[in-house]
Amino acid sequence: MDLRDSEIKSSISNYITGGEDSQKSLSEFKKLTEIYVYNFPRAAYRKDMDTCSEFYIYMLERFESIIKNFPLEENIQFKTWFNYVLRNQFAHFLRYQKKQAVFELSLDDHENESALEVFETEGRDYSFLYDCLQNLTEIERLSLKLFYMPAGLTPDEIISSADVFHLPIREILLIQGNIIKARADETERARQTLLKISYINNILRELKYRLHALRNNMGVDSARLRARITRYEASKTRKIRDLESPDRILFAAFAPLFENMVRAKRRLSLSKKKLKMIIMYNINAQKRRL
Amino acid sequence: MTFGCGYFPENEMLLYLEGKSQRSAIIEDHLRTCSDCLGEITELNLLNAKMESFIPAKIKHEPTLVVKIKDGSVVSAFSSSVSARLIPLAGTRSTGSKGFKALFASGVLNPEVSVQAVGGLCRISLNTPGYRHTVSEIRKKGEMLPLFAKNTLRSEIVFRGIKPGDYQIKSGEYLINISVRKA
Repeated sequence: MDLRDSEIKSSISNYITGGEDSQKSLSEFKKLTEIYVYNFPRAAYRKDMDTCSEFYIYMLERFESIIKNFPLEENIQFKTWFNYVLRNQFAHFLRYQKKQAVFELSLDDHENESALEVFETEGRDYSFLYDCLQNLTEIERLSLKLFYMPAGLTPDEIISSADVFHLPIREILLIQGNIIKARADETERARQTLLKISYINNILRELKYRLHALRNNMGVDSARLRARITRYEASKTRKIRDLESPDRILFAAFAPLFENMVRAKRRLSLSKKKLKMIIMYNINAQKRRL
Repeated sequence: MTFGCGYFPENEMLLYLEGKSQRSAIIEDHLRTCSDCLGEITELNLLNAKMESFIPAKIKHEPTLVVKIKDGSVVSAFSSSVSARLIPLAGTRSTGSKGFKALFASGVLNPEVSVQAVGGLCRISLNTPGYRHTVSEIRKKGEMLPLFAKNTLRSEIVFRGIKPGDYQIKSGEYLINISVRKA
């Protein structure tokens, strides 16, 4: 989700300097940022749509005071500043909601109604994986975490990464952000490829059915159909190969931690193999104990 | 509002995060010793990455509409998935303009929704592309029974005298969440 930096900055500048046009600039600012604000709780904290609506309404009254505080004289991107503001506003909003919540005891008689069953899904337990990761050396553990779980890096691990990879903290933060973005892009790419494969499968099914219907008539139509089927099959194979191939963008985001991409790949592959061995050894040890 | 422990101004820390700060080396040294600032900058970096990689999903059948009313006029309108516009209402020469109404419109299939303020209450109307026989109802969010239910053949369905609050409108296969607030 992107914000148009120059347009937003010009609308803020018009709002601050413009007298009569200030309301127009404010509504322009709202138009440019409303989808971003609405989706903020969902994108940042995985909240539901109701929270998104409530938060948007909460923010609607505060746009005017927020817009005045933007430091136009500094060379800060609006997005960075706005994320910081939205995070603080969301914390205020959660406190405000807690205050507003009034719990009333219902006096209705529900004796004859069927009871509601609540199923709770258990959260994933990664403790076994984390125990196994502890058996690796620091550089192996951090490179695996940065590549596979970049969002799970703790502040202490950021400092350790800066020491281990001999890079400034700011560089580590930049690489972490780039890997998260590359992972999201990779997921989207995989989703799009799967949609294309399913589209090709539908066409192939129809073509094969038509070929089956023409089985006694081996004329020009049948030859054309077979040629089309071959073309679509080849296209499907190419798409599957695309899906299986490692993502270059993801490795390009990860490589700056090492001297070059080859070393990055080698280090990651070795760390992965070592972790697999440790996991297998620990599983066998658990089985033996039982 | 201070950033972390408050040793550096927040704008300085935001510039550092973007790689534009002149005092990067001093901030780096500070981050190594201050867990508050390090925690906050890590969280903000994560937030930036998450927001940048987020793709808002398009919701076809359940749009959320938000309308704010004040002094018999709609002052702002927002929708999560369909386009929202404020349309001026025509007035007579003596009374002048009568404020605005909100219009939510999307593709050909979805009904067009317009919200007009009448005093402190609202008039919500649904316009469908063709005539159809359907049951339309409006209910307060969380309640079992609808406030109004209409079984009509007309293409326009109107609900009058709606107080500010959160509602759900169901018309045929369409479900619309609408929130009316006082400004």
